[in-house]
Amino acid sequence: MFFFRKKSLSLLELIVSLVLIGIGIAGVAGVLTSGIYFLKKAENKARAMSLAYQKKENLMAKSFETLQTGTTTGTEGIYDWTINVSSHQEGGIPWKKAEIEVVYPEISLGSNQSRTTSKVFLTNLLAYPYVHDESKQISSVCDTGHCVVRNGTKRVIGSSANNRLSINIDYPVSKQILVSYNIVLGYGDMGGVAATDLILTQCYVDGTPTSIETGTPILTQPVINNVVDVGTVSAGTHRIDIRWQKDTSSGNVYIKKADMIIVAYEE
Amino acid sequence: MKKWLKYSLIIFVSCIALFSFKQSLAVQSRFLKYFPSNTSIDYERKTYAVPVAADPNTCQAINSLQEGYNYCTQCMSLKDDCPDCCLVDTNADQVFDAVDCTSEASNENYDCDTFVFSGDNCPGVECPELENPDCSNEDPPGCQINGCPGSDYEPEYDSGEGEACTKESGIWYCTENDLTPVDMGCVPDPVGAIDNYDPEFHSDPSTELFYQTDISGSPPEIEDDDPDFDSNIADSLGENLTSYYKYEPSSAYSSYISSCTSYSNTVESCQKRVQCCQEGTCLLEANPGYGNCIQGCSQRLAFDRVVEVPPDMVEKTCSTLENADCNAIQEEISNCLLGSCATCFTEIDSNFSHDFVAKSGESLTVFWSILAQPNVTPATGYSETEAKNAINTYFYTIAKVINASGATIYSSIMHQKSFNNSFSIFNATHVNSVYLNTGEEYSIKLYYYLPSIVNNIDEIASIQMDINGMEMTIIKIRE
Repeated sequence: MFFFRKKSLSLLELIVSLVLIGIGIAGVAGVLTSGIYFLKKAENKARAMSLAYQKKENLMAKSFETLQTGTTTGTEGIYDWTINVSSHQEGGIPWKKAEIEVVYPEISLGSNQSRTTSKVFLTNLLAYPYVHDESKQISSVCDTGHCVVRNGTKRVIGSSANNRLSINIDYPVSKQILVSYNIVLGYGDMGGVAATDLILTQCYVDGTPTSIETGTPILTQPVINNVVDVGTVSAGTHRIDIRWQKDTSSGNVYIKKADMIIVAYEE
Repeated sequence: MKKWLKYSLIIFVSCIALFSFKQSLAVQSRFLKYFPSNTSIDYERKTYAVPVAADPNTCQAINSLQEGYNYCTQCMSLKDDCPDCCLVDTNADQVFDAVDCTSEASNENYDCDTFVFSGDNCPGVECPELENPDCSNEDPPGCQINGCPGSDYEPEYDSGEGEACTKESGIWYCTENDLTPVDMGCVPDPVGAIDNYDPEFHSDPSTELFYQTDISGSPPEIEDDDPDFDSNIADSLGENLTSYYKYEPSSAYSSYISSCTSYSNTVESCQKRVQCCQEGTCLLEANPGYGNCIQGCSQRLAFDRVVEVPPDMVEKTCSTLENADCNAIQEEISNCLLGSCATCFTEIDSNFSHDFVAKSGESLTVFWSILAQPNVTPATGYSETEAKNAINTYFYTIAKVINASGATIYSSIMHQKSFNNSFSIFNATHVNSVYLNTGEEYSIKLYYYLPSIVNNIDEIASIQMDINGMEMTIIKIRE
């Protein structure tokens, strides 16, 4: 009996043991529950962040000009997203701000199980480009007898408003302008044109010549290639065009193909 | 106490570290970097210690046109340097044009009569004006006319002997009846060269050879009872003069003078015309003159092959080719290079390119420059200057955008420069974003076209363009 009594547990001991085991199990369970909660919270946030990044990547695919201002919203699963693009100016130089917000429900850790919301928020800025390029190409716009280079005053190369070597620019800041043009000539009746007769081309800004005049022999140089620096133009709208004339009244010259390229940059 | 302080410090530092770490994470998660730049500028450059040789392209599509153009321009050059200098009265109006390559021997307009008066025995007939004539003045110099008798018919008299003559209404009146002209002109050689010349004019001059005479062989005598007697004439010849003699030129003598004047004028005009034509129209710098003119004509005649002139492909030779024809061929070449002949361009260096992956909405502006050196090797017997002067061709370059499969998706307008002046090439082109697909790989490369020169030039020189370096500046913009 003594041996038996020595080996058995008393009720008190059992109860204490059970309480201790219960406390231990409860502790472990609590830890597990908290872990699941934090994991779920982290997962939701990660997904929200992923969605925000995805929206940001979509915005990144757009350029300054194509990034439209305004607010757009949408829902994907439990996530509500909002994109707000706004325009701003700093010292006359424009820039854009894109804000991406993703809101999602969050399960609180507690007995009341009440729902709260969380959100992730990204903000990005898009600077105004400091280099721009513009181009225009005209091709086969003239038959023989049209687009003739006239003697006397220079006129814009081309036959109609849409088919002229002329580009309108409108930059909010002043820019340095580099202009390149290529002209492939066609010939009509060239009687009376001497080997020394020239075609004179020049770049004009708002009707004022702004580059040196370039002379090209009519007969021996059927392709005119030129690159000119026209200097600084102020902010706002300007028209840049290429004009030409012959230094002889003889001959009939027209355009086969031509292009004009403008590179605008800030120093 | 010390242990408590130590543990408190550790806990405090840990809290600060954890707080800072959390803050940095929060900033990173809320504020990302700026959007990537919409502009990038790339630069490709290559220089060659050993120049890349750009040899003439042999492109069948354009060869015949280029041959025709070379031929045409050479023909025009010959015409410019040595125009037709043989005289042809095209419209039979005595206006002589330089329009034909006829040789001097076979052209009657060159067949001038020879001068008949020699300076050795006839002073004043030298013709220095013909050595450097005023070709803008059509009048003959008048030098040989000086060898003809004076048309004044003035009789020669000796006032010291009391002889006297006076001229009234173009007729001479004298006191003597046996006078001969003061100026009988020189003896023409050959004697019979001028019509109506009588050798006795010089060998046995007598009054009746030169003046009208009566049956006595003397000029008619006019006495004071003659109705034709003029007292004023008599008074001018002497005091109380009752008669005088009338000296009118004989028809034979006046005919000779007229013939002589006409002959001299004709010879002088012809000689001057030939001189002016020969010296004034043949402009070869090395040795201007008729010999070069004839040589130039010979070259042209030997050069006379058939060229088809667009657009109707009319067959012409050098004799009928004009500058407009060369222009027409050149324009056809331009058409060809802008269209069907674009494949004639050859890549300058297959290892020189700019490779990139297109972004959305991205356009390119490409500036390219080429440092080149025309290389002309004269054929045996020709100088470098002669060879260069004979070359009249162009060096064309373009920039192309090639996709991953090697297809050309964009080609610039060609840059054209005279071969001899192609030492520096600079040009630009713009590749619109519509040509590029986002995410695809592309390459920008430079190509050239140098026409293969044939015909006569091949015998004078061979050409190639040495490329010493190339550059490309590519501005990529997303707008």
